[in-house]
Amino acid sequence: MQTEQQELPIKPKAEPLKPAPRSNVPKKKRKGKMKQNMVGWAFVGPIVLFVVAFIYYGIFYNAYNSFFSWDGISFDKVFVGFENYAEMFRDPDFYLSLKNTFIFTILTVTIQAFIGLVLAYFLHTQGPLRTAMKSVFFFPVVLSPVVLGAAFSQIYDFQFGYINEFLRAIGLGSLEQNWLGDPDIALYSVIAINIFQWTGSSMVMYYMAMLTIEKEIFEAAKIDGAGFFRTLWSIVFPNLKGTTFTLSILGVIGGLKTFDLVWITTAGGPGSSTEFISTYLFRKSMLQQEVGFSSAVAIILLTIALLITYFQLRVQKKMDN
Amino acid sequence: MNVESKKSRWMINLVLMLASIVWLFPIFVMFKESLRVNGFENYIATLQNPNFPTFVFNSFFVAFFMIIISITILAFAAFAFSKLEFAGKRLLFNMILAGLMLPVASMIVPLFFTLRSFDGLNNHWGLIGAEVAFFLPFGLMLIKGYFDELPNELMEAAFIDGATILEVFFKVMLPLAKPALATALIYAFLNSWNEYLMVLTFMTDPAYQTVTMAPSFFKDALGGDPGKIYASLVLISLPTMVFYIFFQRFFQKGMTAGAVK
Repeated sequence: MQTEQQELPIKPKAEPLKPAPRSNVPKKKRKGKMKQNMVGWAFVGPIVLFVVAFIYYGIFYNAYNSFFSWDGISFDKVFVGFENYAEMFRDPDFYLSLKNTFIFTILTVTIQAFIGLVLAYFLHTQGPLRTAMKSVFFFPVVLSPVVLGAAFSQIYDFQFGYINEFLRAIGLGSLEQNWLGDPDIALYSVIAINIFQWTGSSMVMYYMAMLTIEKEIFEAAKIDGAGFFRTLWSIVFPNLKGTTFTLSILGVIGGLKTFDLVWITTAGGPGSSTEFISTYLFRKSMLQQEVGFSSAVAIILLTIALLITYFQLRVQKKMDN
Repeated sequence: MNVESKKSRWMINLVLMLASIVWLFPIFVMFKESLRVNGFENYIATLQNPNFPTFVFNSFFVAFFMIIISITILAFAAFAFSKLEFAGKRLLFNMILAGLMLPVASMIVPLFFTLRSFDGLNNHWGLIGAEVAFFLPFGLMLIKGYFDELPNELMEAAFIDGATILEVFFKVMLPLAKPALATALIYAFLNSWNEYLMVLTFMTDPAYQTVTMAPSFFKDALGGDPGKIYASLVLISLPTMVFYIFFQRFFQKGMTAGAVK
């Protein structure tokens, strides 16, 4: 029944190499330490260089620019203090982009986790075609959002789309929608694509974690007469808290990063109804040349990402204890 | 598990089957649309458009050097962060990992100006540099995690035998880390091949754009002939599909490696 269930080899975590004991002569000791440092720095030099040049320099550049009014082209760069931030907090589109990103994140994280968990549990329980089905559900993860976005645009199309044609065919034509063109629906249509793409990764992670739950626990649940869904809810789910937490964090970060899918399907429209924080940033900086203003938005986005990281580390520490 | 009854077994299989069909449907749509009106002619026409081979070449070129550069940097760095002691190790490591959280969108303006000052706009190497920088944090986490699991004994034995640090790295540790490097390589390829925002921002000239720009390019250039656009979508997905079919286990491994810290 459980062909794939196996004890995962738990290797003791290897300690980093301790410096070899050296002679007591302090001068020599210091020399050895210096050499050790030099070797280490030489190995990590390139990665630090890349990250500093492309990422940390950029953060400071953003912070600096956020205090200026600048179109990114002309030479007149006017210091405006916190005016960019003030303007941002006055802009209804900014709040809308935050709200959309928030709705997107909440819905994708919970639904992907829920469907992923159920699929993983079903696959874990059932033998036949397990590997093949796992591959099918995971497959969209490797596709570009550009490709998926274009394919779904066809499925959502008002006149010739598969969904509306199907609805008409079964006599429910009154339910047809302009899936990407209706401001009230477009956001949820985009969310559905994201769920389609990423549920497979939630499923794989839950599935892998289920393999580490001891068989005895399942046996015990069975003896106690716990039903199928009861076992899922009371035994499996609580044992996978760590995975659920990881998925939530990845989902939140993913939500802040989401750009491609939205840009391909709706480009933030109709109106601003599917504007995300990332598309808002792109529009302001690259299309409307409000470089100073967009830098302020970038700093807010970075702050949110930082707060989430801080929160994650706190919770993880608590969970480890 | 409590699925003694044939009925619930049957139900589960039914649900799984239906879910599989739903999951395959968009892929099916893509293939079906790509054959619309002209059948395989759509593929031939797409391939014969002089711009298409350029997109594909650019993508392979960028992905190839992006992989070479990032894997080289990562192998050295992951080994050092895992197995060596040096001043500032923790700080530097956390500094790099913080990059995991960073949305590319928040960095396009600074990147744009950085690349411009190096003449990196509409230049393969500019894009490669930016892609490498944004892949490094994830790659480091992936490979360092693997090095952490490798025991120190082999390395210590080699040191006692008088091997230098480079010999230990190249002859002892690197061969052991192959699976992690392979997983990182696959993710690097996937990231590079599917990169959209950076190409959109930094490569305004179609001569330098990669495959993710092909659909919108064809939408404008071919007057929106859907069959050809879908053919181009299938074609640009082929390399990732092939990669996925052959290296599936690495993909799924990388997924969970990213989760366990």
